[in-house]
Amino acid sequence: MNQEESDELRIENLPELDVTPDISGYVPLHRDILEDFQKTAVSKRVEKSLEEEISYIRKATDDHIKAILSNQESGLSDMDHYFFENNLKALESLMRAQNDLQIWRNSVDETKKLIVQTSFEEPDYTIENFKDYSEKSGNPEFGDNIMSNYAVYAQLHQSEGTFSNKLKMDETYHYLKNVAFILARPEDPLPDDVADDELAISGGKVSLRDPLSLEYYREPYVSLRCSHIFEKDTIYSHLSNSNLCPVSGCDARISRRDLKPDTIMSLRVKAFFMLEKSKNSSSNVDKL
Amino acid sequence: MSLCRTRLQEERKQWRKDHPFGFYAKPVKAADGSLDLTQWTAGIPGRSNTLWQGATYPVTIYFPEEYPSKPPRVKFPAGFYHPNIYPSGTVCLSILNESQDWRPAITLKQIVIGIQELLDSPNPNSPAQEPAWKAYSKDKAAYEKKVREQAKKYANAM
Ligand SMILES: [Zn+2]
Repeated sequence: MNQEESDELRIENLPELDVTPDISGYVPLHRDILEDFQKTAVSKRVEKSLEEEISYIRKATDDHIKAILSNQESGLSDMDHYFFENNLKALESLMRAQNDLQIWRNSVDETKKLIVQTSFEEPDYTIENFKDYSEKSGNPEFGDNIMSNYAVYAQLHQSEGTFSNKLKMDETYHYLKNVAFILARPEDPLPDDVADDELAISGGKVSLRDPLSLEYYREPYVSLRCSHIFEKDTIYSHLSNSNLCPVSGCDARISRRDLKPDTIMSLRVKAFFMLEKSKNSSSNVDKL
Repeated sequence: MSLCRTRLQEERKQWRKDHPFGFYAKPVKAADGSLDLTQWTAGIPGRSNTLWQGATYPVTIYFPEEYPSKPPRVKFPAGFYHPNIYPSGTVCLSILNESQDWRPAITLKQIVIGIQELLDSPNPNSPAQEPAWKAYSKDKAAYEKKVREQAKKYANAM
């Protein structure tokens, strides 16, 4: 059978984001074929193009934010909201496709294990006699096996809420979801976080200042150990003396590896200054 | 600019914008008239309904070069009567101790409020002077009398 061809078929399926291929054509038996089967059963290309789409969405969002921030007029237009909402929807379906792809891959892996086991027990079967063997032994065909594994895993993921958790934990998704809110209200806690994040919020406002220098953030970094946020330079120099989190009452031990850029805070500060600027320029207009 | 200076300038700005009621804090003027950001004078009001009420107690706050990595030193006038204040006037408080609870994110506001709280809630586990500690643990009446006398000395102007 022509593996290239079926590969192409799945690429064409991409627009519907359906990564559940028709596996019945694949009944690989020899170890050589088996290896090919492993390589091609789920195309790397599908995975790669999903990643590309996602990074494109992220970039388009960032560009759009830049345009909004550089625009003197404050406030988001309906168009802006529409743009952000649509990007979020697109991101969610791409991530769902990635998730399905992962489930699919797990099912293939499980079936691969079965193939290996079976071929140890019955080293002689070939494409010609496999169907026969399969009927006699009562082992299902591999294609069927993959499909039934897929169904089981998909069900499991659904019931455990794996995907919604994945969305919640995803940095880009979180960012896109909150962009419009932050641009409009840079100092307010995110609706998602109000319940569980009492840190960094004083008097209902989120502090936009580094707790070490007390200056506004320029390059905010967040500690993955404790979610505390610092200016990159000051936390780095703090870490050369001590690995204890600088915030009172926090017992986290931090190293540079535990710090990553905080895109949300970074956006807050930029949005804050944009609003300040437009406030000032509109009060100047009032004076005139 | 060093982190120490940057931070102290921001502390000053924020204090001027907003600070707890009854307190004051400002950098001292150096001999040449310029501000020395590393040395501040501050006033801690005694809480109402305590022995310490009606007075504002003066302290001097010394910020080291390594601030905020290292905590500032806070001093009452020498001989200040309190179980956790050394005869020199230096305050013994865990948040002001680098090897205990000091953290660089602790602000000036938190420090002065911490000291205000210490006034009426001495820590019996860290005696820093003999007279006040002895009286506090063995002779409450004498202790209270001394504290009230001291409050008169620093009484708020009417
Ligand atoms: Zn922390």
